[in-house]
Amino acid sequence: MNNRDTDLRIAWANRGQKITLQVDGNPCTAYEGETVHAALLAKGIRALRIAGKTGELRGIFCGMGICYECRVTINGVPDQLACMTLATDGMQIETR
Amino acid sequence: MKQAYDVVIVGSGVAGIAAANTLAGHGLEILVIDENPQAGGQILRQHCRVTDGFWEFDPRLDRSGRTVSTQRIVQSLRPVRRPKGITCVHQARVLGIFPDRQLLVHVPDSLGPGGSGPGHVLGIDAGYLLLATGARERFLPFKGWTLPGVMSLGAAQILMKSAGVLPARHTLIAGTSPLQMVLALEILKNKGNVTAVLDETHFAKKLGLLPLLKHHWVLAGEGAMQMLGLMIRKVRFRQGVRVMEARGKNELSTVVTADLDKKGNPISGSFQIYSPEALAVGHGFCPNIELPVQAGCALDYDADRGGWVVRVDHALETSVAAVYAAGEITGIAGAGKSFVEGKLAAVSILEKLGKTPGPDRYAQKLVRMQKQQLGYASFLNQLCQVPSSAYEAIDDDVLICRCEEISMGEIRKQIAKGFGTTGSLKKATRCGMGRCQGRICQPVLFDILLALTGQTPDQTGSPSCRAPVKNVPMAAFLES
Amino acid sequence: MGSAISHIVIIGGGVIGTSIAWHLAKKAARVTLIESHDLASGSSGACDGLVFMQSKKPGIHLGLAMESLKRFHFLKKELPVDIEFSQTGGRVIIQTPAQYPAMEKFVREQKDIGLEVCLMDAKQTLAAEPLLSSDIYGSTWSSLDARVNPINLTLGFALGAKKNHARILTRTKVLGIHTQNNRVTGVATTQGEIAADLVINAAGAGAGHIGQMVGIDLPIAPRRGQIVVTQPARPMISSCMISAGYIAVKYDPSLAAEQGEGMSMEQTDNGNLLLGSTREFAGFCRENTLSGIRRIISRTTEVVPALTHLQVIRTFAGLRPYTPDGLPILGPVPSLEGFFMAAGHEGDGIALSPITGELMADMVLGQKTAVSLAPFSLDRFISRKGQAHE
Repeated sequence: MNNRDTDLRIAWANRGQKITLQVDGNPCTAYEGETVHAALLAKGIRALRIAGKTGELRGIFCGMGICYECRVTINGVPDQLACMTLATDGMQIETR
Repeated sequence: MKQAYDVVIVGSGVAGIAAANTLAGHGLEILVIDENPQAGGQILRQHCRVTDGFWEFDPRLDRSGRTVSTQRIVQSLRPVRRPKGITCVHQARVLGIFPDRQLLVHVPDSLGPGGSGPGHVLGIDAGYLLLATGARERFLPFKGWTLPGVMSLGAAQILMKSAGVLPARHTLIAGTSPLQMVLALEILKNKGNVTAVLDETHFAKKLGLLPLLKHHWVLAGEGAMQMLGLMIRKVRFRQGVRVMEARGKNELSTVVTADLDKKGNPISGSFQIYSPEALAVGHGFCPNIELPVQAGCALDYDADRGGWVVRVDHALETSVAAVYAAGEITGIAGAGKSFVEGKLAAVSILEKLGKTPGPDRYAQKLVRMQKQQLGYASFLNQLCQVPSSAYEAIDDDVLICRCEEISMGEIRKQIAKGFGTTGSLKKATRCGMGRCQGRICQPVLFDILLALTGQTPDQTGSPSCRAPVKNVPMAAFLES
Repeated sequence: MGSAISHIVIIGGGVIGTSIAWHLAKKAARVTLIESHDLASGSSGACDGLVFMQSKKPGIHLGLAMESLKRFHFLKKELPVDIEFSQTGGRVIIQTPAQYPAMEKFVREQKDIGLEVCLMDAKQTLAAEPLLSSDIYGSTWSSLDARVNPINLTLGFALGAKKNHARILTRTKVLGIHTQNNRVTGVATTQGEIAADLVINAAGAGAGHIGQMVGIDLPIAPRRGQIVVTQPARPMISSCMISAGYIAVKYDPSLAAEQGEGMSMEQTDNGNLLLGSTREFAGFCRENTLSGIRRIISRTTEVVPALTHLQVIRTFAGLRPYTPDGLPILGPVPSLEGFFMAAGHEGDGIALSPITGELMADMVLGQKTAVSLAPFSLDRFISRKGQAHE
């Protein structure tokens, strides 16, 4: 997994306040109003879970709460849809 | 939220908002329920950031009687104070619809930093029910379409529109969809790079479809302007090209494409390799019919309207009394039709309730406008139509059901054994039994069935769907 | 009689109909199976897969179930589909102190008839199933109990029957049954007329409709059973489970008040947990209800609290063919020659399908049956007509 900070945030987009998430134990900067999946992508995290049978990695696919591919654990609750959840300060996120 | 409402509107996209506008001010208790954090659905999501208010379209939009374009819809949208009697609930999911219009609804706990609870499930009774659940993208699966880095065209767009994040530094756009151009221009506007736009549809086919546009010449103009925009920015734009495979170990690294002949079959030896960071792909749209199916609404199959659509009468009432449908679920035709149908469904409900819904002959006018909008449906859906030979040609090792990880080979095997209906094939393969309830694979499976068996949609049967149509925590059902 | 039969029509493509078709086809009988929708589209595709011995009444009911169980081992190898048969063992969960002595009595009786069942206290039970709630009082355990994939079993029977030249007509509705001189001569269907000298009514909860076509009142009523399906999860329980409630009441009638619907739980090969079940009379309505789902979830999470962390991905409901005495109706109908019954298994259809198919095949072909079918005859209801429908 590449855990680099990328420059994917659009410079002139309206952003809320800067917040910090904990992603797999590491701090991750995000902004209020961003969905979890966007915050993770901006951090360079694209593989979010492992498919049970084939063991393949999966990431964002539909981005609108339909495909269930972007499931992550949020604040200890497994199988939350990253694309449908707004990031909040201090949120604990676990991938894979 | 209350236990019962006069009208419940499911979905607050263009159709849902238009309906709520019309229903407001008649002394009715109305619930608008939507699973997204804000109103607007997919088309207006960028414009509906405020969550607490209510949205209204300028009433002049439907008074003119003219064709309603997406652009005009966006321009006429404005925030207003929430009218009395209207309750808007977001991030709540309608999980199912039981007899007598009882809705099974999941309301989450607020997602505070301290933890996210399971929320709770409750039953809500609707006097009248208006389903405006919209559409989603459809796909032609290829090897590697499950790799992280491969996403739908819509997903790439949503990332930019809702969160201000580019899908990648370099994005390859493929498939065939009007979303391709929109996405490419959006990426460029946001200083991202478009590796190329590869459209499976040949230019000649597009020209052939132009007469279908009739009332919508403006849209043809828009399309031409978009193409021009890409050319000016020197983006590679190729038509008649399909993605054959996405490769990469844990993430996408390369994409293999092939040129297509006139019939849409890959030409041997025409392979090309691209190395984008992300691949955005989609093949048109299909209606979100899961809740209508749950409610027992009859469906019709019409490829020109996007596949299985909800059957409605002239007043937009479905086969189930007091259940109405509006927007993309009665036929994919874009925001204009959704707007008109949202209004029309609301007017029909008001008339049933003995209220005066608007000026004289308002309903008739809306019906006329609806007919105009339908012209675009055939163009749009034929434009995105994937030839059946493409489904026949899917390799055995390509996954069709992403949730249950069922391959094309398995599906072929079971069809050969005689499982030739949607219902029996699902049972024999588990395809569609996973978490997404078949939202991604069922339309694909259906096209595969038609292509491999040569049957008609009547013979294969319509899709089924059980509650909950979206996953819900067990704990949400427990009463404290 | 056997040699005179030229064509047998089976009505119903559920687990019972397909099992009969397979058994008959294996014996080279000419068979046509008619199913109004798809195979396993009724109760056989909307149930759990428990093959439970402990829940059966000692006597003919248990006897039949034990014979059926033996045959699953053979079917696992014989059928052309993986039926996911697995003898996981089964556990009956004791949830109140009062159930304990009743279940002690139950275990004694079961042992008397040679059934291997043991009683475990709470500590022993928790050692075997660590995710069970510490509030339970114990359990009874039998290594005989098993589970199977009901859809695969039905499809397996059907594909096996096809291989043996049975004809299977799905999406075909029965419009009527032809008779002449009080004898069955054929079946009218949406695919045309089918001549038959023998018709077997295996239409499950719909058997009553078929009976009405020939003027026969059947004491079979649809009883809705709702099931809740979770996401595929890591292994959480090692065996299938039911609650003691409804067994205990047989041994201590004073417990009747708490009998209720009980609960059942199994984890499939795929990892999904199937949680059940309700037993409701709601006509032919196959919809789930919020209260039904709530009841199932509250009862099952009480036994395995860790379930609360899972998600529900689907619910469904099937119509179990209920009979007043809880036993199926198998065999000829005296008032109409050539008309046979094989329905009314309520919640035991999956477990009893192997033996039912075999017995019915042997009977209609005039061969000796492994178990006497006399106790399952429709006659048993005729003397007390009028009470049959409750």
